[in-house]
Amino acid sequence: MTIFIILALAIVFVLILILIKKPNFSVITTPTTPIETIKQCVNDGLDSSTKLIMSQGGSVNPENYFLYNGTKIEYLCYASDVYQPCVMQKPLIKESIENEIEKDLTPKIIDCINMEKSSLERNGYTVTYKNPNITVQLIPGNILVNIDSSLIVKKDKTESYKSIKIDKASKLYELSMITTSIMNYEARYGRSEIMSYMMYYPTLRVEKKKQSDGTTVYILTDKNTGDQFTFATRSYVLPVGVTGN
Amino acid sequence: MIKKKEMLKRAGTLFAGMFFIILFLSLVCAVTQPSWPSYNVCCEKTKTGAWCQNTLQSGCDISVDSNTKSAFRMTPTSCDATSFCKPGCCIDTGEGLCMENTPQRVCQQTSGTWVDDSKCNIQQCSLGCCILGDQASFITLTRCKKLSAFYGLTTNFKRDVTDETSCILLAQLEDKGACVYEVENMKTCKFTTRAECLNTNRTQGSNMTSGTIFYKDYLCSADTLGTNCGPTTQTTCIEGKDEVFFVDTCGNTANIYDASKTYDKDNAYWQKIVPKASSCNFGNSNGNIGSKTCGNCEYFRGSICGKGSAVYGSNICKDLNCYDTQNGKNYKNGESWCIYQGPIGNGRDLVGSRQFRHICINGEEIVEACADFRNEVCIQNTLTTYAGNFIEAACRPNRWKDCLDQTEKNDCLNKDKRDCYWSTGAVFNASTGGSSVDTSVQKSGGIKIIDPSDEDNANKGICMPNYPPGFSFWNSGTTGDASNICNLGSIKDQITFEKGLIGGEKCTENCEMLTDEWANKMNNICTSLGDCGDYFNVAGVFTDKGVVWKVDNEKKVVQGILDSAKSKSSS
Repeated sequence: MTIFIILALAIVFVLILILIKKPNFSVITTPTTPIETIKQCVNDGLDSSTKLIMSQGGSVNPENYFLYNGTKIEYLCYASDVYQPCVMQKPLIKESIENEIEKDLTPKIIDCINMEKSSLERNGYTVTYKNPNITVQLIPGNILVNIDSSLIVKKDKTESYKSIKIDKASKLYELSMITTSIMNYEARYGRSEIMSYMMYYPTLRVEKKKQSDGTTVYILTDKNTGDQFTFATRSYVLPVGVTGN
Repeated sequence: MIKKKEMLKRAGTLFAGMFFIILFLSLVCAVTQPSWPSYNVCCEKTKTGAWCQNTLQSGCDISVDSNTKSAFRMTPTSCDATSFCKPGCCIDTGEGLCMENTPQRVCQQTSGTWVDDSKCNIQQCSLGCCILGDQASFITLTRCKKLSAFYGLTTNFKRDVTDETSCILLAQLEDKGACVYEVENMKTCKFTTRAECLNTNRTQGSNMTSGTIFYKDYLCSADTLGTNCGPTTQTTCIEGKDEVFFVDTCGNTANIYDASKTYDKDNAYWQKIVPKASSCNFGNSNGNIGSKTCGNCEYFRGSICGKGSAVYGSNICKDLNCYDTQNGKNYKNGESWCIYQGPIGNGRDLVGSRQFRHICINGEEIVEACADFRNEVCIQNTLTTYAGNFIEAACRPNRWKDCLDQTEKNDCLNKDKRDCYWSTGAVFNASTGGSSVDTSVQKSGGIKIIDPSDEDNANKGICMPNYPPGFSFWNSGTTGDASNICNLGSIKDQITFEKGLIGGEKCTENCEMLTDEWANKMNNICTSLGDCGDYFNVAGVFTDKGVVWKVDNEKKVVQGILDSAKSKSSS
């Protein structure tokens, strides 16, 4: 019985404290700077952009694609004719992926900054920034995003952020390097030996899905992180029957 | 008196056709010719978005390119002969990568450097051995510089090493040992290569209060070095290495994990490097899989360092072999094998069937389908190695296309050149000869059943695809190859009867064509030509629409055709 009385008193005490000290309660929550909020927002956008791009052969809107399980997979090396080696469609795949992420991420970043700006302005801050210059870079184990927007936040004091840097752990660089190797094998021999890649990199899974029209869909997975990159090739296609008709 | 009468009232017509398309056959046989697409234009870009393709003029995109502000080009020649789509080598100067067979237009659009050599046999793309610490990579000089810079290492590129195996061996031969130096007057150590040790001055920066001294073959825990790195009972896995290693208090790797060699039991084990061959259970046939006491794992025996409960530490030799795979068998790491959906070879492959290669790698079973329509077949072989038998399989092209052109048994069975089998008991009619895939064969009379036991027929036969091809008869709206090839099994002939003086008649020529046995033999040939005739499909369903046997224009039921097909598919 006594314990319940103590508990009830404690609850009443906490409630009184909340009512009296309300303005100071923000110190209990995690303090977030404008930069941290923007970073969190951009990180979410980066997650969705990379996921989309990695599932579609490195493109936001695949143009020359194979429809695989309802997903458009970009051809990175392609020959429409039979018995012909494929020609590269995206020879600099790493740079191409960087550009695609940048393209898809830019409007999301602008939205993030605008949302934070509105939020700060509602709290009496003055916020200025220039049109952001965004660069995306793939490096081993990471995706680096640099937002150069000269963000200035003013109220009692002035906070100035020349650039915002975000890095996200990702094996996209490593997977794109494996992709270039597979593309070269496809262009030369019309096939690649997936087992050799998995022997050299025990944490890598390479799946090769041959389709009826001669397309090969490759799915590269990093088993540690779950990162997956899917792309398509079509090379040295053997016609069905004699003529393919 | 013998009165010969060409009756043609008994004509056997065996239509060997694709399932479902029997209605077309009488029309298709006569008119369908193989039609090759006339890819006579090089499109800079096609309407489907592909760059530099030889295709039909109607497939070219001739809209305005937003980059160049001019229309995409189209030339009535092969892309190889154009300036803009000529394939060459595209060099990524930043990453040091070379991409083969890249059209000039595509390379330049993506900021690459284009060189007129589609196989990239150029100086910038020549490979050499790049030593990265105790690892090695067979790459270009530019890529070596890039990776070395990324890992904070001095570029160590050996151009004279010309193959990957030598490169890997070279990395293993690099001197390794204890790199001793002082940080804020504290003597510490890093277990590394000699080259990396010399580089430590640069990477450690201003914290270092002394130069580095390299002690070849010494461990950082060696008592004589007097560093702050001591032995532990902890273990670790290293990327690129198979074994479980002890670690010292500074986080450096020591020797291979051996529960009987902790410092208190054998302090000599913590002084100098002990080679793998002198470590615990070296050469163990199962690579010390699951051992709680020995971390001498071996990838090629199916084990690698991974998480698990050991006497000391939390790493063991993880099992990479595959157990209870799809066919119920166990396989070693790196083995591959073929899986078939039914009988294969000797023309027995089921309609719609495909061949598969399964791989056991890093403990996973991965399925790789060979090309559809039996354009590829799976072959496997068992090798005898120091560790026992090892199965290897591969998908390779099905070389069936010139089987029907072979008239000699030896040529037919030449496994180096083609995948065919020699079927006795039938011949192409004299005028048929080679080039059987031409529809003219059908006009000239097709196949004739002969008695293989007859001495004159001893060397006679037909060369047929060992793995009959499949056809995509549903794709083009015409029966195309399906009817062309299947019609080879069609025959229309006349049977001669003699009328007796007092009535009655006696068959004198081609009489066997009236028998069910003859019709079954013909069906057997049909089913070997491709997805033709009456046969079982991959789902086990028998289709009886591939054969039409007509006598005097009246359909006849072929008795025993199901049993004959069953016997073929199960033989």
